[in-house]
Amino acid sequence: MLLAIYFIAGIILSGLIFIFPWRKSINVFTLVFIIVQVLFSILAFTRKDQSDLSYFTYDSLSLIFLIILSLVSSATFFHSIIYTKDSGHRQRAFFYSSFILLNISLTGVYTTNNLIVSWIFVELTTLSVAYLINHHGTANSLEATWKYIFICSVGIALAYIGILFASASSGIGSTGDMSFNGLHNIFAKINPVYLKMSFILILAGYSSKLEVFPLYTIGIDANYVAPSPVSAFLSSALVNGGFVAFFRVFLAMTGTIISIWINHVLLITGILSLVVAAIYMQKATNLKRVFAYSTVEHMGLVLIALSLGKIGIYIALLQITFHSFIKSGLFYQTGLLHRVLKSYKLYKSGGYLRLNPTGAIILIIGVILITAIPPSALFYSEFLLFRELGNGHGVIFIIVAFLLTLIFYGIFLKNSKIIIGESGHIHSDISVIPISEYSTQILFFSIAIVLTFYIPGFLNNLFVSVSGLNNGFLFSILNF
Amino acid sequence: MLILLYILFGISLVYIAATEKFKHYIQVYTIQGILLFGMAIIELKSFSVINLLFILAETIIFKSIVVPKLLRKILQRTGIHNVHKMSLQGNYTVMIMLVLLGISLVLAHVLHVPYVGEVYMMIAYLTLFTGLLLITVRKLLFGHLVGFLIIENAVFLFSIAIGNEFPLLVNTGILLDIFVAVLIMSMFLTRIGHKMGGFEVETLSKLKD
Repeated sequence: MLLAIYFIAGIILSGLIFIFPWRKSINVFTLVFIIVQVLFSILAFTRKDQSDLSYFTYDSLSLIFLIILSLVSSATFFHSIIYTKDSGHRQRAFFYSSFILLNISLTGVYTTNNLIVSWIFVELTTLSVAYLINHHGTANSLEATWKYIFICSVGIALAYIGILFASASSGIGSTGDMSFNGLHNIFAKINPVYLKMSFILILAGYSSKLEVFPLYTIGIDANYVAPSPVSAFLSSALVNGGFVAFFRVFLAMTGTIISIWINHVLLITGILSLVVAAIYMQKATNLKRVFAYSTVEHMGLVLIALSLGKIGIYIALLQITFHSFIKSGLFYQTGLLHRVLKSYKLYKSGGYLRLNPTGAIILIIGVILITAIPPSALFYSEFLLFRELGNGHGVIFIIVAFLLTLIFYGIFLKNSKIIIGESGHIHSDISVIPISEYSTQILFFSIAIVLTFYIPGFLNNLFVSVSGLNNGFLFSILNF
Repeated sequence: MLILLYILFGISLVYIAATEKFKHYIQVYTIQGILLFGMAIIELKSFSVINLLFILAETIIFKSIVVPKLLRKILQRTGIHNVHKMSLQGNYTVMIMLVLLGISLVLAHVLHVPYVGEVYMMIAYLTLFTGLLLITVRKLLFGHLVGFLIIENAVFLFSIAIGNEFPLLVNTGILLDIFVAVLIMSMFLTRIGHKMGGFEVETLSKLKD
């Protein structure tokens, strides 16, 4: 019932935006929606592990991502208000209406317990994000939007065929249960060849949403052309949606006869994602593309972590949580950087530290955090990852360490160019950036630092519950 | 009867891969909707009015009426009629289709699915491969859109194979998703033509490092 109220409220508010398309009314409707989103997430906690509308459950996994969604969507709304202040009524109405629908779709993806419903909502995220990517309406944004919709839709269709194929091959007939729990029982009985084929289709299909090899390119282009607040949302909440959709199928397949094979595939896919990120990071000539490739890197690490069993799942959840806060903060800051330098192009811009010291320092902090340098919480998760890789995965340890070094070098080189490099022909206008606009970045970066030393009990319990570790498990960097 | 429908569907796939006129794409897609309706009705494991109405909506109304109308509108607006001159020619695509038919046959035999006929699975695989082929070899974006629709037909065939009947709400969600996807893609396709002055895949290659 709670979810029904949330969905109805969201759809009504999304519609009201078109009926009253003025700036103030749109901001009010979107603000009301953000409040609804936050309240929904809080109330979902009070109903932990309960089902809603038959196809949804407020399990630990969904609760983790609902918290992140609430925080990121609030911050994105704050930055969007500033970003869209000069937009036309129609353009603004489409923007916020799509934003609300995207939030609803993501909530559906996070909370559903049924594969078909998950597919419906994942496809809805693709459709609702289209206008947000194409907000500028330029040739570049049209190209990125078309590629995003088309490749995602084809990818998701392939993933769906993979599941249907596995279910058909189990011979379940019309009694089949397409809930993730039901699928777990189905997968346990299937011939491994069918299951492997199914998994390859699912991973390839969802890679478009996960932003990992092979279909990562559309995510890079989308992040590049979208408005910065949208890029922040895409590389955190939307990527998380892809993760949840994939992870639930992955969980349903663990414990089957092909578990070890799946781990190998994830390991290879994760490493290939790191290779892609390491190579293209050096070639990138645009700051937003640099950060987009960094998302490919982190999602690659998440896949590698998933291949390491229960503790790996715990690490993957930490990694994706920390990444969400840091990456969205970085993209918000990139938007402010554009207001000063008027460009994201590395060969055209520079001297950010001299022109806007506050913004530059926040950017430097963000870069330190995203590269997992202490006190970044990502240091904590990557430290755990390397510790696990060190136990019997020596070669992988060396490969991953080498690739991360290349990525580290790429991110610092590109950012140093923009922070302390030559200014070039730019017209700075830093007076338009009030200090309040840095607040979300400071908040998110602070969260990413605090979580290094202290993970709240309720959050750790959620991680432990999803990964299937013993109750009370908590690895502290302070005790090592 | 069912075998006849399979054969006709297989022929329609080879034809759509070979033809170089977009209006033929639309005609073949319309016929495929009718053939899918026939297959779904015959394969239906438990009969109910709701199921029948839903299959009717998904195949005849959606695939044979609404989508073809939308596709015709795109052709009118964009003024494109034939596949790009540089696209792989029809006789080559027919040869590729024969190879794909062979692969589908082997897959259907090797990966035998309980309770589902080999011929049926072969057609499902071939439909998937045809969609992917169109996306790969056609140089105009309209061909890609039709390729996506053919993949959706493969999804439909696989979902019949599983024999799982979902509640009306879920089925409506699936149908609505696909419809909105086609609608949005059509909208963007028209915009790309206006903004970039062409519908070739090459026009979409500005974004790179």
